[in-house]
Amino acid sequence: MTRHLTSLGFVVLALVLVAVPLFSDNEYELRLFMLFLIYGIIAVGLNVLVGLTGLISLGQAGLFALGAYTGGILATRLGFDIVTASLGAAIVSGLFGVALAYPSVRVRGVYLAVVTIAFGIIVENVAIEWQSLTGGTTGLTSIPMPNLFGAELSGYAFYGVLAASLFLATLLTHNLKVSRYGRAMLAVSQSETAARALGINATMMRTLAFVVASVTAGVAGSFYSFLNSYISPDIFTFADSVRFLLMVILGGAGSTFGAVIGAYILTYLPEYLQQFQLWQKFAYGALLLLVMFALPRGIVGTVVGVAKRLRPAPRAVLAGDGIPAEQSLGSTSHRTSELVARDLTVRFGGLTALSKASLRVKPGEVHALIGPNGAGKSTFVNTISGFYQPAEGICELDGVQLTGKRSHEIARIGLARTFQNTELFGEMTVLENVMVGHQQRLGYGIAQALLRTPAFRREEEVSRRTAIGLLAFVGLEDYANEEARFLPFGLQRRLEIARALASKPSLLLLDEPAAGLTTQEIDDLEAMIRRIAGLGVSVLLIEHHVELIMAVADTVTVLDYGQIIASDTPSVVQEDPRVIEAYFGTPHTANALEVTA
Amino acid sequence: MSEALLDIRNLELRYGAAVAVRDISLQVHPGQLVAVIGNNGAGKSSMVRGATGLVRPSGGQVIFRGEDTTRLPANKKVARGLVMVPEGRLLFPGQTVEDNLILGAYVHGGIKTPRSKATLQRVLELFPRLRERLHQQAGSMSGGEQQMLAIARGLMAEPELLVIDELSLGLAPKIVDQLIGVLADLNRTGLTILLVEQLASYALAIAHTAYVVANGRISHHGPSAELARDPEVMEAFLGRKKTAA
Amino acid sequence: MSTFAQYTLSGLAIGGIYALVALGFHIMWSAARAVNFAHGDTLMIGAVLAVMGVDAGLPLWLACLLAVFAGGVFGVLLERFAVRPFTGPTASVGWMLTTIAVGIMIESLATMQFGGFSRALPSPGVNGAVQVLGAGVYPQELLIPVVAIAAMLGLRLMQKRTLIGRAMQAVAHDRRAASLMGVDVNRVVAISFALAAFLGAAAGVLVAPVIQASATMGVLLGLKGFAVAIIGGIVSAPGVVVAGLAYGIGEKFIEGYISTAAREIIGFSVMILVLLVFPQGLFGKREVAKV
Repeated sequence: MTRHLTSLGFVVLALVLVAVPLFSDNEYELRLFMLFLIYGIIAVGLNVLVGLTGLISLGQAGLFALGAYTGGILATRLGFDIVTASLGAAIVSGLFGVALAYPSVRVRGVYLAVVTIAFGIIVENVAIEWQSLTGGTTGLTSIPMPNLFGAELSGYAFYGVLAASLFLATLLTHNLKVSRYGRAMLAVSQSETAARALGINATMMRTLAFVVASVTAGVAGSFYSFLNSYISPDIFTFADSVRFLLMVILGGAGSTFGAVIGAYILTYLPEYLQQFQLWQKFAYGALLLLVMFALPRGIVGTVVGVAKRLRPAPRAVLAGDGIPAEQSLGSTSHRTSELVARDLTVRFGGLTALSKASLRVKPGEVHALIGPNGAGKSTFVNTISGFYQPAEGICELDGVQLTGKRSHEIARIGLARTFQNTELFGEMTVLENVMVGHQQRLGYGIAQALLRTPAFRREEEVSRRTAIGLLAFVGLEDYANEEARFLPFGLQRRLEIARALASKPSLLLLDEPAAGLTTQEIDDLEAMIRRIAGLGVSVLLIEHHVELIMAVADTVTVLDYGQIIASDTPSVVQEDPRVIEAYFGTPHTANALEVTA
Repeated sequence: MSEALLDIRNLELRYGAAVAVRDISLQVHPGQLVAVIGNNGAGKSSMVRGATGLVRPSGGQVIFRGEDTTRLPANKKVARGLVMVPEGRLLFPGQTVEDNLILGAYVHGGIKTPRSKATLQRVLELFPRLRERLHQQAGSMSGGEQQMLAIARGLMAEPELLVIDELSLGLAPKIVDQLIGVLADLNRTGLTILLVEQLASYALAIAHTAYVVANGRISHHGPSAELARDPEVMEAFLGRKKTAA
Repeated sequence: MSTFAQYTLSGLAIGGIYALVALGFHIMWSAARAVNFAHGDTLMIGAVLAVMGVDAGLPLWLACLLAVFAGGVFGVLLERFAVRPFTGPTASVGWMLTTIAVGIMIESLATMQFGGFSRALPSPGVNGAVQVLGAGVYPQELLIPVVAIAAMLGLRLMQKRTLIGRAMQAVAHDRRAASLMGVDVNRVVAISFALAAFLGAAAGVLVAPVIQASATMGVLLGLKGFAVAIIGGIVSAPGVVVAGLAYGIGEKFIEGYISTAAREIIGFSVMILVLLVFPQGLFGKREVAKV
C-alpha cells in the first residue's frame, strides 16, 4: 500500500517536472521554478540529516555557499563544465560535511546547531576575506553559461539537468531511507543507547547523514552559481539556513516527498508575500511559528498521520512468511557461549559502584544476577555491555576480550541486551525494530542500497522474514506493522527480546525483564526464557522478581554494596544468611525494636 | 477511628504504556507511622510519586486532610503539609547544608521568621552532625549524613505528613539503624510518617501498621507486628513458596 | 602602547555587551535547559525603544527604564508562549525554531517602526572622550564592562542570599527536587527569562550610544553572546562574563590588525574548537548523563 503510494508519488513528480517547462509562460517563471529545483535538492539532502538522524543543521547556507563558490571558481578560472564543476563542489562540500559531523560525537542538540551556525558565518566571512579567490564582497561575476562536454546547454537542457538531479536526489534518499542505513539512522535518533547495543556505529551513521546533506547542498550550490551567473557572500546568510531547515520541517521531516513540497512552498511564498511589502518578513516568521504549533510533523507527516487513522494498515503479518526462530538462531555451527568477568571494579568519582566483582556464565545456562537496589547491578550490566569502562578487571566472551571495546563492537561480538526502562525505537514499526536488530547480519553496502540491486533485495527479504520469525517466536506477529510506542508495556518488553535475538547473540542479557509485568506476563516470560536457553543462547538475567529467578535460573549470583556476596544454585542462595540480611535487613537497635514491643 | 490524614483510594499510575500502580488504597491516620514494604519494582515508589504529585495519577484519588489533591502538582502539596523525602535523596549537592535547609523551608519563606528559625534549631538539635557541617557543600558529605540532611530538609517544611521513600538506599546497616531510631523518636513526638522501605524488617520494627505492595497492588495489610510474623510476607520477599511447592 | 590600550579598552566595552548577553543565556539555560535563540533581539528591543522614547520627548532616564522594562516583559511572554510548550523530555529543539521565528517577527516589526537605518542614542556618556593610558575612550565604554561584572556579582549575591536565587539554583539542579521543596518551577523559569531579558535589554540601552541602534543589530550580537556562553561554559556565570570580556578584546585586536571578516572567522572558529576540546566550556562542569 505505502509502497504503491510512493511509486505513484515518483510518477507524479516526474510528470510535474516534465510538464512545467511545457506550460510555463515566460522565462522568469521557468527561472523561478529552476530555483525551486535547486532548493529542493538542498532540502531533500537535509531531510536525511534532520528527518532520519534527528540532528539540526542551521549551517546549510554555508555548505550551499561552499558548493556555489567551488563550482563557480572551477568554471570561471579553470573552465570546468557543469558536471565536473558540480562534482568538485560535491567533493569540497562533502569533506566539510565530514568535518561538521565530527563535533556531533561530543555535542548534540542546541550545541550542534550552534556549531553549524558558526560554520555558516565562517564560510560567509571567508568568502568576504579571501578576495583573490572569491572576489570579496563584490562576489564572483561572469560565471559562464552552463555547458557540458564543451557544448553550451540551452535553457531547457539546463532545466533538464536540474529536474533530473532533483528527481534522482529524491529517489536516492528514499532508497537510503528504506535500507538498513535509513533504519539505522532512525534508530540512532530514537534511542542511541539501544542502537549502539545492537551493533550500530552511531558516529558512522551521523557522519553519513552529514555527508548526504552536504554533498546535495554542494551540488545545489554549483547549480545555483550557473543559474545566477553571479554569486556574492550576502546570498548565503543565516536567514537562508533557517529557510532550508524550515523547508524540511514544513514539508514533513523524514518523509520522502515532504522536503520537495516544503522547498516548493518556501520558494514561491516569498514571491507571493512581496505584495505585503513590509509585512513580508513578519508573515514569514509568523508562518514558521504557526508550523511549529499547528503542524509539528509537517504537511506530509500530518496527512500521512490522518490517513493512517482513517484507514489503518493491517497490523498483522503471516507468521508462515517468517523464517522460524529455531532455524535463524539455532544454526548447526552455533555453539553455546561463556561469559567471564574477573575482578571488575568501577568507580564514579570517589564512589566505588562495583568492587572486584567476578562472575561466570557457563555455556547455555540461565544465570541470574540479583541484589538490593543500588547494589551495583546496573553498573555491572552497563560495564560488560561497554557503556561504562571499568577501572580494573576484565571481561571476556568465549575468550574474546570485551573490556576496552565500545558497545557496538561488543554487540557485534555476540552480546545482546535489553533495557530496564525499555529502549525501543518508538516511532518505527514493531517489524522494523526487529529488523534493526538483524542489521549486523546484513552484507550489502551503501551503493547496493542506493541502486536497489538484486543482492540488496534478497538480503532485505531474508531480513524481513527473519524478523517475522522472531516476532512469531515471542508472539507479536499480530502487531508487526504497529508503531512500537503504541504497544502495551508487556508486549514492549517482548519486542525488546525479539530485537535482541535478531542479532543472533551468543549471550543474551536481560535487564529486569519482569519489571512492570503482570503475573500472567511473568509466567509467559518464564517460558520464553526457557525456550531461548533451549536454542543454545546463554542468558544473564538481572532481576528483582524472586519467584521468576528461582524458577528459571541455573545459578544465582548476589551483589550487595558492589560486591559479590554469594553465587550458587537458587536453593542454596536463598538460605544464605548474608543474602537474607542484604534483602531483608536485620535491625540491631534496641531502640527500634522497643517501639513495636 | 479519626479521619485519615492521607487517604489514597484506588490509585492507578502509568508511565506511557507501562502500568506501575494498578490499584492501591491506603490510609494514614494522624500520629501514625505507616510502613509500605515490597520488592523493588513492585510499585512502591510509583505509588509515592503519585501521592505526592511528582507524577499525575491516571486513576483513583489522593485525599489529603479531607481535600481531593489528586491533580495538584508537588509544590502545592508541600504547601499543604504533604512533604516528601525522595528516593535517592535529591539534595542540592552544590549548595551548602544551610542552603538546603533554607530551601526546605521555602514554603515558609526561608528562615526569616522567628518560627522558622526555631524550627531550624530543633532540626539541628535532632541532627547535631548537620550543625557541624552547616557551611559545607551537601554533596561532599557521606551517604548517611546526606540522608540525615534529606530528612532534616523535609522537616524544615513543618510537615503534617512526612513521606520517606527508600530510607536505607545505599546505606550501611548501622546507619539505617540510627535513622530508623530517629524516625521512631520523631513519630513519638507526634509527627505522622509514611515510610516506604525495601528492607522490610527495619520498617516493620517501628511502624504501627504496614502495607505490602506486590505487582502494583496491596497484597497484605495489617498491624506491622502481625505482618512481621506472617510467613507469607517472608515468602513474598524471598520467593520460598514457589520452590517449596 | 596607546594602540594596545585602545584595543583593550574598546574590546572590554564590546566584550561587556557580549558578557551581559551571555549572562542572559546562562540564566535561561540554567532554569529551562532551553534559551531564547532570538535573545539578541531583546537587546535590539532595549536599544531601539530607548531611542524611540527619546524621540517621543521622554527624558533619557525614563526612556531607558521603559525600554529595559519592555525587554523584560518580552522575555516573560516569549518563555510562556514560544519556549514552554516546546521543552520537556519528549520535545527536542523545537524551542530553537519557535524563538527564531519570534525573532524574525520582532525584527520585522522593529524595521517597520524604526526604519531601516541606524541611529545612536544620545547619552552624556559619549559627549567627550577621556584619555586612559594614552587611549581615547568614551566614559560610556568604560561603564559597560563595569555593569557586566556588577551584574554577575549581583546575580551571585542573589543566588547565595535570597530565597528566589536559591530556588533558581534548585530548579537548575533538579526540577523534581525543587518542586518537592514547594518551589513553583514554572514561575521560577518565567522569572529567570524575565531577568535574562532584563539584562539583555539593559545591554541594548548601554550599547546604543556607542554602536548605534538598528532593527538588525541583534542577530549577530545574539549569536556572539551565545558563542561566548558556550566558550565560557554556559552553566558558570563568572565563566561566561570572563569569556565575554576576553572575546571582545580578542575581536578588537583581530579587527585592528587583520580585518572585520577575519574577526568573525577567528571568533567562531575558536568557539568550535573550544567545544570540541571542552564540550562543557572552559569553566563549565560536566553534566553527567546516565544510561
